[in-house]
Amino acid sequence: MGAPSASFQGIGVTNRIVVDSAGALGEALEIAREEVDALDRACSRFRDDSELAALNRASGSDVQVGPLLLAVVEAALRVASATRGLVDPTVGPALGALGYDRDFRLVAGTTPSTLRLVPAAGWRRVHVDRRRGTVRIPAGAALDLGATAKAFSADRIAARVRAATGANVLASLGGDVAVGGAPHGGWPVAVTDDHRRLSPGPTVAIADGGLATSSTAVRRWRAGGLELHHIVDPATGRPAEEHWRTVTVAASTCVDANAAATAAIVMGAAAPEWLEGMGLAARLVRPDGSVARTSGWPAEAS
Amino acid sequence: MAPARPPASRELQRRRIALVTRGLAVASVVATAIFGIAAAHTGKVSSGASSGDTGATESEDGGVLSSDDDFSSPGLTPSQSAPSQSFAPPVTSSGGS
Repeated sequence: MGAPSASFQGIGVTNRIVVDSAGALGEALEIAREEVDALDRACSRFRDDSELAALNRASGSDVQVGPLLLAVVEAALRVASATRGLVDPTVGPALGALGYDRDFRLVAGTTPSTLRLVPAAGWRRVHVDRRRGTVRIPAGAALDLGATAKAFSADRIAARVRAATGANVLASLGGDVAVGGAPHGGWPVAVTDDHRRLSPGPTVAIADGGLATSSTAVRRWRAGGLELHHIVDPATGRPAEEHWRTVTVAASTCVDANAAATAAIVMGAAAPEWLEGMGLAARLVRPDGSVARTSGWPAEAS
Repeated sequence: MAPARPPASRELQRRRIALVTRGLAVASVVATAIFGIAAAHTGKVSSGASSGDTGATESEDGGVLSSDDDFSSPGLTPSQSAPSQSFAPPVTSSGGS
């Protein structure tokens, strides 16, 4: 029998909370819904009334932001530093120029005939004043926190549920997984390109931290006569070369796992060595389906 | 014609001048000490405050994070235990979500 779990839609994905105690599920679900709702209001690039939208509209000026957006911006800057700028929150205009400027369900239905490439403004030009609670982004720039915000929220949910209920918990926001304690043997997690269509992939068990997958196989659309995907190389503003179709990483947090997985897609051929150097367990799938692994990733049954 | 000042008065005047000079020197030392103590006291308050949320730790914990100079992070860190193969019914980690 599976562990008690509940799912709900939010921020454009399916979110799931799993606990090992039936009595904890109600409170866990309430916490998860609250966090996802707060994330949407603070960090959504697709809501005109979000704090992030207001910050982007006021580029070039110091803007007072709430503690959640401030924390996610700081997390995104830390990720940018740790990935040497391969995951850069200032890719907002780059994604917009490629046509990904609204909820993806709307993007997929359009095929713009022209294509513009806009390199990222650069995360080093973002200023955060934690004491004053202000953020300033370069004039004309815009932040996209998608790569980090969802993982950040998964980590928060897992930590809050664990603290509030004492239960072991797994939080999954669209497949970005964070764990707060684990049952014996760990939480089993299936790894795949697309969580809505379970394609063949291994199942691994994790006992702590987070697990995240980045993939070019989903969220694809056409513009300027080209087929595009959503993982953009900040240096060029162009979708990353598809050396890897899908990268999955386990790390100390979901934020770190997500950052490493996305950076690996952008990095290309050198990614396995980079991941190995940090001791990160990772599985990388080439476009032809062949697989590379770092030493920390378990062998797969043939 | 004014009478010449007797030698005893000149000696008294020299002693008075020497006394004033020493007094000024002592006053200078005392003032320096007072300012020194005040400066040290101020530094201690600042230092003590820095162990909380203001003072010397401001630039690290409470102040401006200026990401265009020397902001750097320690990198991405692995989980405490590596993932293991599992055959249990899973939840899913997927890309592009």
